[in-house]
Amino acid sequence: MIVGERKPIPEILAMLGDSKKVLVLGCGTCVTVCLTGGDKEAKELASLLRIKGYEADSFTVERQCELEFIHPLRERIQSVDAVISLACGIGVQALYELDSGKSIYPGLNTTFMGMPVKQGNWEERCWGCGDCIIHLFGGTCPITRCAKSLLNGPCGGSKDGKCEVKPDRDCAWQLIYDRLKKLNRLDWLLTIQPPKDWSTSRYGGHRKMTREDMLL
Amino acid sequence: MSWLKQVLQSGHFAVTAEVGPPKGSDPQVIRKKCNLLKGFVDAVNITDNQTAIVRMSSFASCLIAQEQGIEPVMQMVTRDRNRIALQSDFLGACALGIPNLLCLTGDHQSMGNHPQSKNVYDIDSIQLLQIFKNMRDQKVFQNGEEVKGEMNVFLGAGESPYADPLEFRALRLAKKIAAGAEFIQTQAIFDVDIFTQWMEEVCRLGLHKKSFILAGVIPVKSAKALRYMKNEVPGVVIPDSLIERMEAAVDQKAEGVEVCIETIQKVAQIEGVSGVHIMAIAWESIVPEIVQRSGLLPRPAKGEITSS
Amino acid sequence: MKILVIACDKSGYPAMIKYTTENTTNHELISILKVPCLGSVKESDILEALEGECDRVLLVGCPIDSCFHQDGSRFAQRRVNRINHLLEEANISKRVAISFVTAEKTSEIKRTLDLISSTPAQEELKP
Ligand code: SF4
Ligand code: SF4
Repeated sequence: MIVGERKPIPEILAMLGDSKKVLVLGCGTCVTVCLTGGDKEAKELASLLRIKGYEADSFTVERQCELEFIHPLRERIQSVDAVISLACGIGVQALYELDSGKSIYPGLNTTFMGMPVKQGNWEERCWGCGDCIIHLFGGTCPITRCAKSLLNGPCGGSKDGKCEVKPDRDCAWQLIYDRLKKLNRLDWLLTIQPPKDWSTSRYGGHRKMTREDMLL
Repeated sequence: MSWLKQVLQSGHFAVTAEVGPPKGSDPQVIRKKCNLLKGFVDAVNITDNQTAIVRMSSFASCLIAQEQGIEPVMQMVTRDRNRIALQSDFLGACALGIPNLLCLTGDHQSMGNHPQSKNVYDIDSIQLLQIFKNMRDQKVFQNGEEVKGEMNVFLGAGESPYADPLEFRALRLAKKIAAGAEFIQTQAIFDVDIFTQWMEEVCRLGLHKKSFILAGVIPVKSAKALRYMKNEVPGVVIPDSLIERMEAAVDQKAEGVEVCIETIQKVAQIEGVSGVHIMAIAWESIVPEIVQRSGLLPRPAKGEITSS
Repeated sequence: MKILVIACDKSGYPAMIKYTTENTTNHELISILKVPCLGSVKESDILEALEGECDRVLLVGCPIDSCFHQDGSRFAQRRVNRINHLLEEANISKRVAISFVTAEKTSEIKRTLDLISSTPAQEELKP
């Protein structure tokens, strides 16, 4: 899922400037599950804005990142001065594609693609490098989870299973080592992994996908 | 041809030191440090924005060192440059006769003074070694295209015997050597026992025959500095007994030098150790005394060794 | 300070009734709402209550470890903290408080009402 964190309220208020009528738009998918941009959070923010004197209302669409889902909102958006989207950056951009001419503001900072590791805790898992190789590393992505994206083993700072960069994070390479040991596949680590082809990743430029058979 | 390589190949116990470029543009800083070291070491490592703090470039500093008659070991980290820039600098280093290169991944920028910056990490240190080795020996760039010219460089890498997973450290060294490391400079050694065990494993794998291993040491000025390193510097292990010894000393600075000399003498006895690398960070002036009192003088002179 | 009380019908509500019948109080109580458990009070309910003239919302219910519905008071406590953080972040001077009582013990109610009626919002309202 895509994980995001709500922007600090003062920042949201600063973006709103002198807008009076505000629509807070939640998204019913990823950000609902990570408890930052769903219906509940949209209602809360609208409530806070009303206490602050705005004429605020909230609404939540199932998926803000699909035009189909947000098209029906066009009129509603026309009736306000500004929209605060609590969707990820994709949802916010989709709203802009409606060309409403209204001010649309991101209410979240989209942080990463990850998963809930335990109640109340989410962790990054994938960078979308465009050429998945996690099977070589016992299912732990070194590109995402090693602070230096090392492909040939741990750096000199791995200690007690923790990363030197952020000591409260697991060292990806300790995880990889432990998993491969369990799988009796430590020999895999002796292979020198060649430089990765990053052209499939964002470094290769903006990416898109086409399914010819699905085109209308 | 690399003098360091000649010293090592001729069976001499090598001595290298480290010079950190200044946080400024004054070339005198490098010159002074180099002059202090001249005649006491075989080569000097010039760090590459060490601990991710911006300093004069390693490349420029190496040239200044060379002018002073010091043989540089140019450190290169993959944190700040991608394969295009690294290969380009490699060619430049070859053209200007920088004879030794040390390939490192580099400390993460969040530990330095520009934590807001974006890092590169296009490749890691092992891949960097392999790329340089292939350029030198196979005459190909990383992309397989032909590269022209003489590339007479001695390639090295760093390694920490202390980082986790411990069981993997010697194997990781084997990977570095397979990738192209002809010499290795280790992380600073304070715990000689762990280092000895690691060296046993290194020798068991025959790695000391494929690459020269230089044991890293750091002279420390105080128990406080030692404690700081224990807690803050990744990849070093410092026994409590050592901190206690430093604390008990009347003259901690002198004791630090004593500890360093003892460590050098101990590691020199270990099978497979071909030299020492003295990292007297911001205390370069102590290196001559350490080298002298460790019985490592005189350093071999040109003419004494016939190059192979 | 205009106060809205939300009370749990196992402990908080009977205690509030007992307190208000036995005492003449000068606190401005807007009303006393009865809920089955404090755990059923959502953040958005509380915020909505604060939208009007109400300055304080007071939740009254069972002590955390003897909540009739097990974790209700525990969750309510967390929500109260979270809402107070939100209000603080938004620089709004309204606040929420929670008070743990038994059906008999009304002294705690008076203490909390006094506290939330007088405390400036900046100082955190703790039970
Ligand atoms: S290898 Fe690439 S695609 Fe696979 S998990 Fe890692 S970043 Fe994602
Ligand atoms: S400690 Fe582990 S996760 Fe952190 S940078 Fe080093 S190898 Fe990567």
